[in-house]
Amino acid sequence: MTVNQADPATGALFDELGPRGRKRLRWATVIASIVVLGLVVAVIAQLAHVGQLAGRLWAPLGEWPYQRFLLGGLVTTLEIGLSAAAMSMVVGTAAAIGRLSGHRWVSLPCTAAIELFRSIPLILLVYFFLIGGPMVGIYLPPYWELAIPIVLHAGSVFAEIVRAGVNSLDRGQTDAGLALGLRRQQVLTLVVLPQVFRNLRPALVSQLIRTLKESSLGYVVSYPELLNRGQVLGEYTANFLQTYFVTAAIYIVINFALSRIAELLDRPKSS
Amino acid sequence: MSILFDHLGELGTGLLTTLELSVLAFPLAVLLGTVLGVCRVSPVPPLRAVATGYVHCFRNAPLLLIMVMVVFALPYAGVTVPLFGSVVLGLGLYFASYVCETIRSGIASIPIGQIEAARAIGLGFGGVLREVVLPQTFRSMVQPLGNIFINTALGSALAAAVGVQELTGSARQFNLTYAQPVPSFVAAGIGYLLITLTAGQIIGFIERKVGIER
Amino acid sequence: MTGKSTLVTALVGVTLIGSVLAGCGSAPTAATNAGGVAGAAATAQKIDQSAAVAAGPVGQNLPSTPTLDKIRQQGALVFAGARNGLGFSQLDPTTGKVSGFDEGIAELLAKYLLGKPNVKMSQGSSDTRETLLQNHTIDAAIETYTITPARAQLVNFAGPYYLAASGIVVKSTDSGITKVSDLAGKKVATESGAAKDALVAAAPTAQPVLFDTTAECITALEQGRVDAVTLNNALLLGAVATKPDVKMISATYSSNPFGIGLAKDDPRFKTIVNQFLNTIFTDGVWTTLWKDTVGTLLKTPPPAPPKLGSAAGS
Repeated sequence: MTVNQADPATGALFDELGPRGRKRLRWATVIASIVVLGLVVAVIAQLAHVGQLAGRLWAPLGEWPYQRFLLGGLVTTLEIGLSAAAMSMVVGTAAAIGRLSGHRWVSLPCTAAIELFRSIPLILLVYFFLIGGPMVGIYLPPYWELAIPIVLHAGSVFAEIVRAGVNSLDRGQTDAGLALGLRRQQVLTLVVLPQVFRNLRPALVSQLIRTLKESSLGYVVSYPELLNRGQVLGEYTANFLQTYFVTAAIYIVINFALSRIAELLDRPKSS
Repeated sequence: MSILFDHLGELGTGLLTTLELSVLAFPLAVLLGTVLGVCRVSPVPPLRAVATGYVHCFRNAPLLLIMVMVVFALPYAGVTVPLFGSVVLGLGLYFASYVCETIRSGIASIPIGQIEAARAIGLGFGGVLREVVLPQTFRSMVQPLGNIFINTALGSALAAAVGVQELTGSARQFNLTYAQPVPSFVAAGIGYLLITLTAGQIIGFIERKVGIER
Repeated sequence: MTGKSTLVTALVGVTLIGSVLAGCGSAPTAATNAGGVAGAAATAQKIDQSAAVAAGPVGQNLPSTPTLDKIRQQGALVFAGARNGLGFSQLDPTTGKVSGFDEGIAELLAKYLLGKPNVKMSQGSSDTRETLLQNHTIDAAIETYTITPARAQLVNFAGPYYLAASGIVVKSTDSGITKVSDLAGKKVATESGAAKDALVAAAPTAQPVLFDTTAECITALEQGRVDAVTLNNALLLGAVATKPDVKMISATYSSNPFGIGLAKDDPRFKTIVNQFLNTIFTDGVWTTLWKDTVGTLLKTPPPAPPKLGSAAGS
């Protein structure tokens, strides 16, 4: 579900307005605008009142060495987000195929794994790999200690998206494939999945947004991604509010741009 | 292993804190999310803009960042909430954006004929929403809202990173003290499975009770 | 319609950010660290281990051990260190350089082993350092790492090389807490590990609230979320140096011996590291390092170096 689509159903909630309605709407607009602007002004006034808008607190964030430090974190975030998204799609698709398999000895473990990794918090998985993994003989470089939990978690979420996509596809497609003499597995890979993935284009981008956000757990394990670097910088300069504000803005701008791309990807299909 | 059983109480306290966090944060998210959802579909442009902006900001930022901001940045703006309350607030603010989007698509799932019929008998925007759309929306939203509850419970694990000792934090603390990672994290994992599976059962039950066949 | 509302949203956002940036733009941006920035940035510049490292010894005729061979092959000592422990190990984000006592010990050790102070700091938190040592991801852990008998079952400790007292920081206006026993029943921010253990031993009824970094602990105190902070006193001094609303009380308690964590399976390497510590203890390099790092914060005469093997577990 992309965020900002024109919504046919919600559009029907109100009519083209008549003269009185338009007048009321104008008033509502004016009042709401005043309230919203008032809130914005109140927030700014409060920040100014407690001295948090003081230029010296924001100045470091305008300087290249500090910006370079934060942007370095963004690069790490993008690296781990992109690679984990790609891996989670592969793992998730494989798990979904497994779950849809007719063989119980394939579908049962896949189902169990998907449900398990969806049902425990990512941070617990991270701690498990970080601390528990080595105790049972799994030694991983820091990148993988963060990436594997994300791939498992995001992969299980993606598996369910793929499965829902498969289930929502017209049964006739499968029947036709079977009637042609294809085996069940062939129907899935040759007929069903290509169509599912065409429908899932926006979900691919949401998956990237998900892994980008999840990579912020680097904060917890001292992996130098964006949020972790925001923390280090905030503590170094003692400007928590300003540093985290800018860090949040970076996440929001990047992910907003990505969701826009998702909408563009979606557009040709709907026209 | 036996150390674990001796200290099951500590993990139990952590589990209880996790439950408290989720049970308090979820209604906050639903309340705020519903208000935002109504704003998002309203005919008043500034309200739509605010709700849209809110959703963009809170869905695109990581939950951990929002929590860290509530705990460590908000006090600099003169607003200090106790740690536990900060986590509840962070979870509520974040998941409200998901509730808002769920409500919007819930409204979209109401057959247009019903809305037209409601308008035909003279209900205005508020009346249509209140009498016809929202009651049904909430029913069709049992499943998605249930998922948001489960995600709230899982998200509350991040509280461990900002000083609130819930289930994940207890497991980590237990491990730091006794160096027994596998049993402590497996026990915590079972705790979360208990929460999610129970929640799943309750959601299924509610859905059977109030769900509408289409 | 949607386009319009997005536009309005964007405008609201731009206005907000714009007004904020306007405040920022009017500021004298040149003054980065001089007077503009508080926190670690203000004091970090004074801390510099390079003089001590330049004077550091180079080990002669070191016997070959698996860890030493690995370090020589890498050409650098890979160690777990912290990035936000002012006085011990503080990263300057603008330069990427790390300064402090622990960083100095690491560079000195590298110089002793390799002839050059080549170090590579690896990520390692209190959760993971034992593991990283066990699997030889790191060659040493030098990060305010307190020697305890429990940890000594998992890793070897060379040292102790520093004895840290636990300090207590309270709000400037607070006169009710003057010694550790006053912490009874109070909410006390600290970090998991040795600092928390020392607190629980000295004030069993205190309620520890755990954070990950010194700055977070101090911030929690400033914001009134806790009544006090307790951590090793040098870390605390660095953190409160620029903050007028909190103060350090004069009483300290407990004594946490910091050791260099090493892999359990290479006992001969521990002997080499202890030889190294003994050398810098006796030739004055340790004292120089102390004065140039922790000493700039503590502002007291340098103590005598600790006695090797004096802590249970070392």
